[in-house]
Order: sequence, then structure tokens, then C-alpha cells
Amino acid sequence: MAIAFTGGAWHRAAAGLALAGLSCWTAPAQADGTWSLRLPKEDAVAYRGVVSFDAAGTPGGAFQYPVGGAGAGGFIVAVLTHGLLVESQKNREKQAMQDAADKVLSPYRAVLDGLRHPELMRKALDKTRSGTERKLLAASESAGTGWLVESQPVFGMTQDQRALVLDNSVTIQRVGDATGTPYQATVRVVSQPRAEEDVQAFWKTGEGAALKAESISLLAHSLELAVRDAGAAAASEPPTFKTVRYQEGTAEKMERAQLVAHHCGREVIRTLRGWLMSVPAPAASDAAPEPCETALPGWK
Amino acid sequence: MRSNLLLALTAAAVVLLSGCASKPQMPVELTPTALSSGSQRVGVAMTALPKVEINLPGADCLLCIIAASAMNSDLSKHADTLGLEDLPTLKERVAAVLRKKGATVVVLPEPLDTKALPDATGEGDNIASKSFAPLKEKYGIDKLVVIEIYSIGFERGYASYIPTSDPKAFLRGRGYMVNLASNKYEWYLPMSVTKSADGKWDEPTKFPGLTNAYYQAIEIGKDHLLKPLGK
Repeated sequence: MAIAFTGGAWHRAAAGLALAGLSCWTAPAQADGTWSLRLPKEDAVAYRGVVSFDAAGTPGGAFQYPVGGAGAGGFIVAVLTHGLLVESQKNREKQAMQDAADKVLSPYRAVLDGLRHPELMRKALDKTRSGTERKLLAASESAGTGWLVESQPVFGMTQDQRALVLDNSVTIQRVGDATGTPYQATVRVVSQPRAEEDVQAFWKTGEGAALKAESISLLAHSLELAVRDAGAAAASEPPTFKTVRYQEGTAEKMERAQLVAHHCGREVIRTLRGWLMSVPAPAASDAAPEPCETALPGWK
Repeated sequence: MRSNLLLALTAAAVVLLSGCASKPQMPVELTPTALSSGSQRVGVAMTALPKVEINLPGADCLLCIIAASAMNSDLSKHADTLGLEDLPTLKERVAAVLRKKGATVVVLPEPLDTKALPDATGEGDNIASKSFAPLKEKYGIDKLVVIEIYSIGFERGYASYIPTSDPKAFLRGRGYMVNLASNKYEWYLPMSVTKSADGKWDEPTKFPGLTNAYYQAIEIGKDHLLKPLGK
């Protein structure tokens, strides 16, 4: 039986996964308890359409270089010119595919253009629970003590408009420790697929209230996961990877990953790149679900 | 001497023209009754699995091949370390799906060498080019489901020296069911899966993005072949 999440339930589950799955940490979540989230330099929040580049590029074929009597030098120039032209064409093709995918955002442009990092990150920070004190810093402000968290979120919307996908590039380092290696990772969070008949109306109602709330929840969850992961002890055994299936909107997706946690219809996995992903689990995998309120105590 | 040359040219022309004349097999959808007709026994076989390889189509001249191979040598080394996941047991998965539909299934234990089978004598739509009839008595089966994986690995298009695409994972093959009484395809499904890396691909030495795409391609390919049989 799958558990459907709506509103706060999804967010409780999301944060609870962090609590349940990444319980072995020392800092910054517990050690001195203080962490500061620094705002990105740009105010605008990045949204894009989720795109696949599986069809990008051309299958290839022989190419005759018109070198004439220019000799080896002419041949090298011809090859280099050809390389530049092909590279430029490849980039143009990918950009065109991304531009086409971005059209899915057109109905939401007014809402998204009004969303700014200070508001988004303030509300996301309010939803996090790690540490004893959390502060929001301006882009140019320096952190006092504890841990400094820098976040660069990029949101995606699936082409069926039924899910949001956040890629949050996070850097975490102890304030004043210039020699330590900062924690760096991208945390991807895929929202539960929306089942509303008119999903566009759902996202847009109330000046995009649901779209904003979902974006804030995804960001909060990604920050929780990153902060806890930064202080987690390294695994003592070599990781076991398997192909994990999950829902991204109505599409089934796959990722080669380690399973970190599985609760309430969601899974936290670690990818081959070492990044974390939090994804909706396939419905069939929740054969005997633990009630979410039991699995995720104390989350409000 | 001259007549020998003419003979050779004529023979070559005949071979080429007859090659052009052979029709490609079109997909054949599995009918609802094909697997549930009474007491028929269905065999399930797989051909030998290929090694993981790197294809560089378009790098045609000798120097182009050398340059392209050198350019992709790290990926080639990494490809050598990749396994075939659970592809070797795909026929067991197919058998389980068929049993679920009520078929009596015999799994052929050894890899099927289709090239060793005699050529089929009959002609017509959806007739297999090889005769599978000898397997009818050998295994006591009425129909045979064959899973063929031709090639698996990474592919990158080239225009002579220049790559025209990023490397992508690929899996190619086909699945089919032959009625051993008529040697006719009752199911025929080609498979060609291509998956790109999510984000950047050039991450030596482990190539996590492309490795992920490789396992995605395997999973998608298995689904492609299993889903129509389970319907």
C-alpha cells in the first residue's frame, strides 16, 4: 500500500527521512549546533523544464576535409575548424532542447518571476530542524561561528507538470577553518507526483501557493539531508549499488545507487557520484509501510 | 582472366542485390491467444551475451580510428570493468512471466547459436530466416521464445576525427517467438536503447554519469522485452 502525501504530510515525511536515514552525524547538525545559510548572489530563483539529452548529437559519418594543396598544416587547420563547428552545433542543439523543455514553465512564469531567494530560503530554513540555531545570511555577510552553508538551488518541472525536481548544489564548511576540505555535494529531491486532474490549476491557485510551498519543502529537505550528510561518519563497508526505480511525475526513472533510507513511500539514495537523492519510491515497494507518524516522530 | 573477373563482379553484384532485396523483419505483436492455447509447451532461450564494447561510428579512416580510440581510451578501460548485471538470467525472468500466463515453459540451459541452425526453406511474411524446427523434438516444445542481445556498451558518433555526440550507453537486441510447426514469428520485437549521462559525462576514471546510463539502458531494455510478454 502506498501512502499519499499532501501538503504538510509530504514535508514531514521528507524531513523525517533525514532523521531516520542519516542518523550518524556529528557536525554541523549536532556538534556546536549553529549553522548559517548564506544567500546566493542572485535574487532570482532558477527554474527550468526537465529535459532528456538522449537524442542529442548525430550518429556520425565520414567527413572529407577540403585541404587542397595546403599540406599537413592545412589539414590540421581544417580538422580544428571542423571541431569548432561541430562543438558549436552540439551546444546549439542542447540549448534548443533545453529551450523547448523550458516552455513547460510558461503558464507559471508570473509566479516564478516573483519568487526570490531571500523569501524561499527564509521559509525553507524555518522548516529545517537540524542544529540548535540557524541563521540566514546575506550574500556578502560573514558567518560568526559554527558552520557556513552555501546553497545554489535549481528547480525543474517535469514535462507532464506533475512533479518538481530540485538540484541543490551545497557547500558546507566550518567557519574560520580555511584548511579543512569543505563538504560539497548536489542533493536532488524529486517531489511526490501530483494526481490532480487539472495539475496546472493546482500549481497556480492562490498566486502559485502550491508551487511555492512545494519548492520551499524540497529546498528544506535538501538542506536537511546535506547538513546531516556533511557530518555523517564514513561507511566502514564498501557500498553496494543497485538500480533503484522511482517516480518522476508519471514517468518511471532509474538510478544506480545505494539505498540510504526508505520510509513513508520515499527513498533516500546515494548515487554513483556520491550525491544524495530523495525520491518517491515505487508503490509496490511499500508492501508493509510503517505509519508515517510512528516512523517520523516529533516532526511538525 | 578477363572472364574470371567478370564472373567475380557478377557474383558480387548478385550478392549485393539479393542483400538489398531481403526485407527487414517488421515487429509482430503478440496475440492474446499465442501463449494460452491449450497444452502447448514453450521453450525460452537466449543467445550468447556480447562483451561490453565501445562503438565509434563515423571514425572510418585508419588515422580517425586511432585518434578516436585514443580520445576514448579511459572510457574504454572503464567499460572493461562493467558487468552485465542480471542479463544472463533474463531468460529465467521471461520464463516466470510466461508461467504466470499459464504457459508450460522449458528453459533451454545452453546459449542458443542461431547461426548453427539450418536456413529456412519457406518464404512469406513473418517467416524466420533460420529453421527452428530441429529444436521441436530436441526439447519437446511447440514454440520458442528467443532473447538476443547483440551489443551493449557505449557509443559516440564521429565525423572522421571529430566527435559529433557525447558518448552514450546503448543496448541493442531483439526478442521473438517462433511457432516451430510453421517457423513463423508470433512475436517479434526489435530493441534499441540509448541513454545519455545526466549532466556531464567526462568523469574519468569511474565515469559515474555514463555508468548510471549504462545500467539504466539495461533496465529499460529488460522492461522493453518483458512487458509485452506479461500483458
